[in-house]
This record gives sequence, C-alpha cells and structure tokens, in this order.
Amino acid sequence: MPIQTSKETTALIVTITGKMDALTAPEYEKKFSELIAEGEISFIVDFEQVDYISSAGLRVLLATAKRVKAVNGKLLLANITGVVKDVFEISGFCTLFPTHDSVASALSASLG
Amino acid sequence: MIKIDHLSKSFGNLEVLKDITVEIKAGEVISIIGPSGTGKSTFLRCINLLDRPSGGSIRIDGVDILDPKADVPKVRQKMNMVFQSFNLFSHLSVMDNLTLGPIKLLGMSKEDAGSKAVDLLKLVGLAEKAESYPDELSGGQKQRVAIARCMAMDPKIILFDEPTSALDPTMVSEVLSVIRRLAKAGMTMAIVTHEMDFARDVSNRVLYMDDGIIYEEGTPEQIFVHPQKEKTKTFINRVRSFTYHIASPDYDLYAMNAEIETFCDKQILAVKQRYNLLLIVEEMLQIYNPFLSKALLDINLAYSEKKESLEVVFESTGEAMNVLDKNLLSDELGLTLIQSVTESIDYQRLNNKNRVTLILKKQ
Amino acid sequence: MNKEWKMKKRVVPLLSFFLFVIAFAGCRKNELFITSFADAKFAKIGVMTGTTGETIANAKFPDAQIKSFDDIMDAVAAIKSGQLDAIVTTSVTALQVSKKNPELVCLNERLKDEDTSIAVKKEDEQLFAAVDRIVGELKANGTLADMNRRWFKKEMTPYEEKQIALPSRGQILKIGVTATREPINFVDKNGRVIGFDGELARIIGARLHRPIEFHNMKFMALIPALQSGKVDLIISGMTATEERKKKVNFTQSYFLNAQVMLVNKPGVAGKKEATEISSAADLKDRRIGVSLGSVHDAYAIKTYPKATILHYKTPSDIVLANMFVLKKNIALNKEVRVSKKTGEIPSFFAGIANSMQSNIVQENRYLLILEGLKTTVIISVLSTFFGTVLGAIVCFMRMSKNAILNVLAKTYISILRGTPVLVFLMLIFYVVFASVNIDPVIVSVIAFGMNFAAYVAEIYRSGIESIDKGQSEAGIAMGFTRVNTFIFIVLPQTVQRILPVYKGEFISLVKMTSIVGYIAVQDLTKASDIIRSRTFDAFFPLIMVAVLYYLISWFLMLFMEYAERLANPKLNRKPITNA
Repeated sequence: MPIQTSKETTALIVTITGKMDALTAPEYEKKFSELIAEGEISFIVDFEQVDYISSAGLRVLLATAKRVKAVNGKLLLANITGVVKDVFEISGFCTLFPTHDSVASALSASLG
Repeated sequence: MIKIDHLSKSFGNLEVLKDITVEIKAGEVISIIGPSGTGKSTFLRCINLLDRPSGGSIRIDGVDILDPKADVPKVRQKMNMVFQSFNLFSHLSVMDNLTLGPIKLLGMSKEDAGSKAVDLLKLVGLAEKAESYPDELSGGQKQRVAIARCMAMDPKIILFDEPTSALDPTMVSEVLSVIRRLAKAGMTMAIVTHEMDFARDVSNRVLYMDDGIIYEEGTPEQIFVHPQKEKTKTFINRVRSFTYHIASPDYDLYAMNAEIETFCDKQILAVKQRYNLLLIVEEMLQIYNPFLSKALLDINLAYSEKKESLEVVFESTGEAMNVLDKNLLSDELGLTLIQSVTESIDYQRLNNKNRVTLILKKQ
Repeated sequence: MNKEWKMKKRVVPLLSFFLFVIAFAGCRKNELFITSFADAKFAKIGVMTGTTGETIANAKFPDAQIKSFDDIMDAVAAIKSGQLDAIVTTSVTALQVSKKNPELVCLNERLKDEDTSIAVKKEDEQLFAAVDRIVGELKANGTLADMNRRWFKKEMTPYEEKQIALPSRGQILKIGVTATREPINFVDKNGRVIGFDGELARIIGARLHRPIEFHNMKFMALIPALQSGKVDLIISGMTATEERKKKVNFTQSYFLNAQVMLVNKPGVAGKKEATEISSAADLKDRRIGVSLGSVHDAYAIKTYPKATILHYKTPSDIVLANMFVLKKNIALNKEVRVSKKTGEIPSFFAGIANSMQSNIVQENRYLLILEGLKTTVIISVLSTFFGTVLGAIVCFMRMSKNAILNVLAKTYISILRGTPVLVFLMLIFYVVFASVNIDPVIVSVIAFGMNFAAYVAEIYRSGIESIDKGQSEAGIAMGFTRVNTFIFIVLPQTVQRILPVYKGEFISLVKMTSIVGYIAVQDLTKASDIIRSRTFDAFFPLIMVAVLYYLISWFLMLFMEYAERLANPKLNRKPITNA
C-alpha cells in the first residue's frame, strides 16, 4: 500500500499515493487505527498524489476523524485538488474537515 | 476501376474468403469492417496478390491480374498498401523510404523523386523528419511516413490494412486525419479498420464482412445507423458497448476496472468522464454488495457518439426492488456522489430483472 | 583521439600479459634429475608423435608419463619450463639440442640403434630400385661417411655443405621432409632445405638427372603424402620400422641413428636461484610488491613488518615494476614465491636482445617470418572471399523450396561443421586432390573456404530470417519483384545485422589457418616452427608469432569495422539538400 509517514513536532504527515477506493480503503483504515494505537493524535493527510477517491475512501477519513477526536487530536487534509476536490465538494466533506492548500499551512494550523 | 468477381481464398482446408463480388470505383473510399478473423485483411491482401486468390477474378481497368501472363509487380505499383505494422524500410532514412520506389521502379531522377518526397512529407506534416530513420519515429509518425511512401508511387488506389491497430490511442487521430485529407483530395482507398467513427465519416461505402463473405454493404448511414441484418446489428452494438458479469461478491474489481479503462481508451473518453464512470461503477457496486451473494448482476456500458452520452445499465436478478431507494440505504454518501455525476437515473422492472439506467453528465 | 585511446586500451593489457608470461617463463618447478634410465622410471618423458622414440619410450618406461609432441622444439620448450624431465629422441637431434642448450645433456646409454632409410611408394618399384642402388653406392664409396663428418659435429663450427649441381629440367623429384631437425634436415637462411638429408636428396636428384623439390611438412603427414603421390621420396631421418614397412618401401639404411635420452644437467637448474634470495626469510627488510587488497597484502604486512610493502593494482603491474623500476624488490605471489632477483634484470634485457638476434636477425630469419605472414594473410583473405561467396550459394540452396537443394545444403553444412578443420584439410589434400599436382596454398583456401562457407551460410540464413517479413512484403506491395526486394530491402538489412557475427567468424578463420603446416604450407606458425627448430628458443618465437597473429586480427578487425560503418546508414548520414 503506497502510504508514507513523516513525523513533525506537532503532527504526523501521512502521504497517500494512487487510489482511495473500495479495494484500498480497508488497508488505509487499518493503518490509521494502528497509528492512533501507537499514540499519534494529530494527522495531516497529504492528498497531492491521490488521483481517485470514492465513498469508501471518504468513509475511512470519517472513521479516522472520529477516533482522533476521541483522543483530542486533529485530522487535517492538505493538497486536495482536481477530481478529488470535486468529490469532496459534492459530498460536503469540505465542510466537515479542515482542508489546506499545502502541508505547510496545515502544519502551522496544527500548532494552534 | 477494380472489379472483383467470386473471389475465394483458402489456406489449406481453411476457407477464409468464400465468394466475394464487389466493385470499387475511382474516387471511392471504402471501409471494410467486421469481427476479427473474418478475412478482411486477407481480402485486401488478395486484391494486390500478396496472397494469391484460390478462385474468382480481379480485373483492374478491365485487365485480369490473375492471368498468369499479367505483370503483377507492375500492377502492384498502381495499388500500394499501408500495413498495420508500418513496414518502413528500417535501413533507409525517411527520405530514402519515399524515393526508393520512384527511382528504382518509376525511373524518376533522384532530384525529382526527392522534391516530390519533400512535398509529400509536408502533406503528412513530417518534412523535418526527412533525415530521420524509422526507429527514431513514433508509431503515428511511422504510419504517416508509410502513407507518404505509398503516395510517392502515384497509386490509383491505396489499400489500408488496419492502419491504426498497432498505434497508441494518442497517435490514432494524427494518422486518421492524414487519411481523411487524402479522402478529401479524391484518393481512391480501401480501408480495413476497427475505428468505427472514422469509418463512418470518411467512407462513401461500408462493407461489413463476416465469415468470409460481404455480409452487408451500404452507405455509412445504412450500416451504422440502420443495419438490416442480424450479425451486423450485433457487431455495431458490441463495438460501442461493454458488458461485465458479476456472479458473486468476490468479483475481481481490479480486472473489471482494467476492462472499463480499455473500453474508455477505445472510445477516447476524456479523463474526467473516465473518472466519473469508474466512480459510478464503484459506488453502485458498493450499494449492490449486500445482494451480490443472491443475485446476478450485469453491468453494461454504452457510448453513443451521436448523443455524446455515456450510459451505464445495471441489471440484476432477484425480487423487485430499487437498490437506490433511500429507505434501503444505510447512508446517502454513495448515492450523493452518483447523483452528482449523472444526468438521469431510471429504475425499471423488466423481464423479471431490476434495471437501473444511469446517463452520465456531459462534459 | 578516440581510436588511439581504444588502441592503447587493447595493447597495454596484451603487452602486460606477454611480459608476465616472459617473466614467469624462467621460473622453474621442482625438477627430477636423471642420471640413468633407472631414474626415469616415473619421470615425465617427452617423445615425438609418430616416431619410433614414442614406441620405445612406451615400452621401456611403462610407469612414466609419456607426453607426445609434434616437434622437438616443443619438447625442448617443455623441458625448459619444467614440464618434462626427459626427452627421448634421436642421437643426432639430442646432440644438436644440447649444443644449443648447455643445461641439457644426453645420457650415455642408448635405447636403440635404428636404420634410417629413404621411403618410396610401394608401387614405385623402378624408383625404389634406383634409389636403393644409389644409397648402396654412396655407402660403398665413403660419401655417407664424409657427410656424417661434415654435418654431425660435436662443436659449434659451421657446417660444410657441398654444392651439388642439379639439372634444371626434367621430371621433378618431390622430396618429403620435416625440416625442423637440425642437422639432419633444416631450413637455412635462404629458405633452402639443407642438412644431411638435404644433401643426400640433392645427390640422389643429381644421380637420377632430375631436378628436386622439397615438400616441408609435419612428420606424421609424410607417409600419407607419399602414399597419395604428393611426394616421390621421403628423406627425413625416417626410421624403417615394421609398421611403416607395411605401408611403404624402405631402401637400405643410409645411417644408423640411436634413440637416446635428453635430460637436465644435474645441478645446473638449482644453482641459478641460489644467489640472492633463497628463502622467504630473506624477505624481511626488502621491498615487497603485492596486489592491492589481496591476501598477500595482509600476509606481507603481518609477516614482514620491516619490509616496505608496495601496492599494485594488478599482478602484471607488479611484474613490470619488478623488472623495470624497483630494482631491489620482490613480487609476492600465491605463496611467498621468490621471483626474479636483482642480478637478472639486465640479463632479462640481454636475453630479449639475444633472442631477437637469434630469432629474427640471424640468417635473415625475419624474411621467413614475413613470408609466412604473407602466406597467412593470403590464405585468410582468399578463403574468406571464397567462403563468403560459397556460403551465399549454400545459403540460397538451404533456403530454397526445392527439396533436393535443401537436403544437399543441409548435408553440406552438417558435415562441414561436424568435421575438425584439420581433418578436413588433410582429407582434401591427401585424398581428394591426391593425384592432382596442386599448390597446397590453393588446397588450404579451398578447405578453409568450404569450412567458412558452412558457418556463414547459417549466419546468412539466420540474418535473413531475422528480417521482419513485413519488410519484404512492403517492397513487393510497392511493385518490386522478389529479386529486387531482396537486393534493395532485405540484403542491406541482413548485412548490417550479420556483420558483427561474421567478423568473429572471420577472425577465428585467421587463427585457424595456423594448421596449414600439416599440408606443407609455410605460414606464420610454420615459420616460427622452423625458427624454433634452429634456435631451440622456447618462448620468443611463440610470443612473437602470437603478437603477429594479434596484429593481423587487429588490422583485419579495423577493416571490418570500417565495413560495418559503411553498412550502417545512420553513421554516415548525409544532410539532404532541399528546399
């Protein structure tokens, strides 16, 4: 599964590549719950290299957001563009999640 | 100009061409379509005797070229061929590919052949590639050079044997537009092709071949819009649509997606439309998922070029119900997404099957 | 610029390799010193293939390792490099060898006395009677005894050859010899076969009033040559054995030769190394050369802390440094092996100069080499040409739809490829052209050409078949006839494609020609054999010939590369002038 993480002081940056569809969603969900179990509470998900997302992908984000909230953490999304952005807008997820134009701006937001 | 009577061709016991009678008139552009393995290419290769017919006659301007006394190489000079695999002479530069025939066969001077070649290369848009060698060209460029090479011999007719089948989808249009140009200029051509839209708008006459005979022939309108015979109808339909059967919840999503993408490639769909199509199929399957263990599901994709619309039909067995009924859904996320990319969603109970028809939004 | 660099890249490793060979050529292995036949029981004994010495050695020393050599100088080279302990040969030859190699000595015991006779073809009774009578007369009037005195000398004084006037016209008497056995018979500076046998042959020619012609060939090829009528007489120090008598007739013996044993002179070999560094212990404060990062490196540093360890990248660098630069160091190889020492560096050069003098300058021997070089090049080039054309014909037959032609070509290819070239060459010479008086160079060209044809026919075929069918289809569809399609479209592409393989086949042909000595052609290899048979210098002529072969191959390769460039249109792209 193409997922990479890098640790910053205030949050863990998770970079996802390729599709977030019914096939890959369970893997992502598992990965996120593992990370939370390891003690991570704040996440910045970088969507720059995601070229497809379906409701299955959105559900993963939703479930993760709930878990993060339970531990008083944050889930910030960055670099949502193109067709992926359309899906976020249609589904109203734009309003559910704080989204940022870049990882840097998400990082500074995670400070507050 | 070319009159073919009762042409037949067998390879051993295999009868590839059965009884073909057709006439090609000067200035005509004829498309030959049909399923694979029905002798379309063999027919073309028989016309210029690359494969020697087993029976029948071929008359060019009244001269029977099957007569043993006929000067076959001379005849061939008048009807050159463009191959699926380009077949540019790999040891010669583009320029030499174009001038070899005129110099050696037509006795042209090197200068004349050269200046003619330059004109032809300009015509196919490759004048700056004159010094290149075939392996330095893209597939589309090679095929355009091959067409120019044919033209260099001043043929009366050009035979195209699936000129775009070996090309990347991105290069098909450059080759087709060159052929269109020749058609406009009044060149007589016979084209074996799988590009239906192209066949429809470039040709005067379409021959639908099936099982070694010309099964139906007519104007593009007659063949593509109002095919009369059963096989023609099925064929025309199949080219523009794609069906996938799902019989269990453990279907292979990867394989299906790959096939959908191939379909999209064939129809030359825009990226955005392709994305929406994949999204609809996935979301619908997510919704169908609970029922897949009990029901059979057929997904049919069809593209109508005329309406420029993409239609997706889901047909499932089982008791009557509309899976998109809001009361049956656990959440509306998937449905929201589907609705956002479709123009219309219809539910019908037809032949004891549940049929959901979705039409994608236009660009 | 680029080419120069390329050349250097090739020549430097080659030279280092040869220097390496030269440098280690002198290193000896443990030797067995033989002072009597009893000592030779388990020795390694060299014999000449097909001679009586071989038979005798096998019978007399059943437990020894008997090794067969084609020529005496090969055996001498072997004994000098420590691969042999003894050589069994005729007393005359042994005398000659020990004269030129002071470290070798002849045992006093004799293995066997043998009749040396002239061989004549069985059917040729008239000639036999005449020659037998002449030998009898020469024996009776003391001519043979006089010749014996003049040719078989113990000391190094020049031979006294008697000039014999020969008729210039008449039926030529062809004499088969193996002129690598000084002083019985050998080639002098003018390329004439002289020696005891040479003079005897001339006397016989004079007495029979016939001009003579020498056919110089390998010893084992002599009898087949006589039987097939390639020569009329064999006068080549040949012993009249029972075996041979079955095949040819022998005249009465013209001198009595003994088989003797040639061995290392006791003490001579050991003495050399005794001076400077005799054991590894002496190395402790020396400069030691090792290969960088090798086990020797670690070993040297550990064992000889006081020594200066010098690191080299390759063994040949060590050798070079050892010989030319660092006069007082020691190359450490495999085990701590004591290599060349101080005193030998000047003598190494002196040795080379000496070898040059004796192998090239003396008796104008370079002429022999040039002549051989010419022959080698002629045979190579002509047989390549012939083979290329014949190969094309065979290929055409092989690819033809006609079943008969096809089978013929297949048979030709499989036979030619399945037969060793040497066997094929001898078959052509001694069987096919047995009764025809034909220049052996032409026979060589035919044999190598036919062999080459079999290989290139298949190369052509695979080349042609590798051309995409679409290429010829495009040509035919355009209106070219089949023949013109082949000429203008398939052929140029085939040539371009097969040249690299063809090139390799060609070079291997050049090297293969080194066996023409078997049918009495004097090529480069044969020239070196002749020189070695005179000088008994084991290594220099071989290395010289190796270098020459390399140079021939290299030049021919350059030529082929040029052809390859011509065949590749992309490399000579011309700008097209147009509007």
